[in-house]
Amino acid sequence: MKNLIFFIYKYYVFFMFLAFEVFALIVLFRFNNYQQASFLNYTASTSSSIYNAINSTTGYFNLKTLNDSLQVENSRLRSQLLQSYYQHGYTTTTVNDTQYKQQYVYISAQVVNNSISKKNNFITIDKGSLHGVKRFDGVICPNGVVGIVWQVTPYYSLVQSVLNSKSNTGAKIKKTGDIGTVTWDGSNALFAQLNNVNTYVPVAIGDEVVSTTQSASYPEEIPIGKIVNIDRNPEKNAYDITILVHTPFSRLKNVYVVRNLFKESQQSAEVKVLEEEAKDHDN
Amino acid sequence: MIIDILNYLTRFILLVFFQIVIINNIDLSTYVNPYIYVVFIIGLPYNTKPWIVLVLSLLLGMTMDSFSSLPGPHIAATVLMGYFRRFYLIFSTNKDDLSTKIEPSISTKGPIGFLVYALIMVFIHHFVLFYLEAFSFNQFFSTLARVFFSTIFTILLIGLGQLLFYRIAKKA
Repeated sequence: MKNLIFFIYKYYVFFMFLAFEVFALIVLFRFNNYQQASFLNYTASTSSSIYNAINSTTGYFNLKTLNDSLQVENSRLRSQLLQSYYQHGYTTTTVNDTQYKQQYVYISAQVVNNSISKKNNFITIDKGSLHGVKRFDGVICPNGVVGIVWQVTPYYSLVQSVLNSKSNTGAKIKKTGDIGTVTWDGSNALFAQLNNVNTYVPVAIGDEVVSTTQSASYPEEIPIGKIVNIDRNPEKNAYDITILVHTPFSRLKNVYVVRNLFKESQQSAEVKVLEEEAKDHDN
Repeated sequence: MIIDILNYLTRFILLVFFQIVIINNIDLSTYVNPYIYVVFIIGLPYNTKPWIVLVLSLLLGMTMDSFSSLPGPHIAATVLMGYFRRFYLIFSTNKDDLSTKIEPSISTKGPIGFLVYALIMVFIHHFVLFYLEAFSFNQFFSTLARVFFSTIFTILLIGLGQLLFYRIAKKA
């Protein structure tokens, strides 16, 4: 026993080093996949308030471009208002309130912290569960899709950016309507990859890629990017397509969280179908 | 003594602040992520007790981790670097210097000696950090390229900082 204590005393630096490393790895493994929320809870209160202070000063630098983009969006939305339509011809319609039910709710949010240079990029926004944000809600900006809400705390949310090697965004080619998946290979923040598009689809450079409702997180036809390069993947009978992302991730400021009110019913229907298919397969 | 503590505390806060507010916002490329806060551990005096170096590494790593979305990598990388610091210093410095309060810098180790020391330390740190952040060995070489280019940029920034704050040692 005495020898053991002497041994530990003699090499206490090494044991300390070992203890610290084990601590770091335990923390890393525990929080790595799905428990980031709890870590965010620990640190969000302090680090986010510091980030907020930084943002409130640096926010002034790009006010002009921000105003311009908001103004463009406002004018676009204004042109869609009912008042801006001229009533052409006479039609009698009966307005039935139950015909339209709101499907999407938009919650405006500010980007608090953002990175584009890591392999797995996350964005922190200043709206959380108290404002109605839920996990897996879509996040968009005036230019296009941004990502999916990954973790929610009362006042902040962590968004898995499209620029994340683990992100899979359901997408389609606007012209033809063929679906695919947008992923990111982690090398350049301006370009993403569109996979799983079959080789019989007539794709062309310059085609627009937009979101679909298949993932239930985004509304239909939110822009994602423009095709800039097409390669044939001989193994998978599919194209390897590179797209230029529309969203300016490096200067992201104002975003909207999209809450799909029908998401649960869409997903429960899909789950039922999957379950029935599995049952058929068993029989 | 108290002046020393205040001096290093200020340095700690300034470096963390500089890293978070300025360096982290420079998005040159996905392959270039310099982390210059490690210069705090690199520049500790020769006679700092090893356990103090480890505790400071832990604190520094924890501070940096609390500003990122994934906890752990900064702690692991900085503590490993802090542990290896001692061995390289024993190997590269003469015994008389080791027991003094001198800081390793371009004015005490000479430009080449200091750069080699900083290069080894930064490489250990970045290697552990980037592989833990990626958390997988697929795309092994793209992560290695990330380590490589980021190390070069960190060394460049550390070198500039040294030129700004220290005088180059004159050859005897």
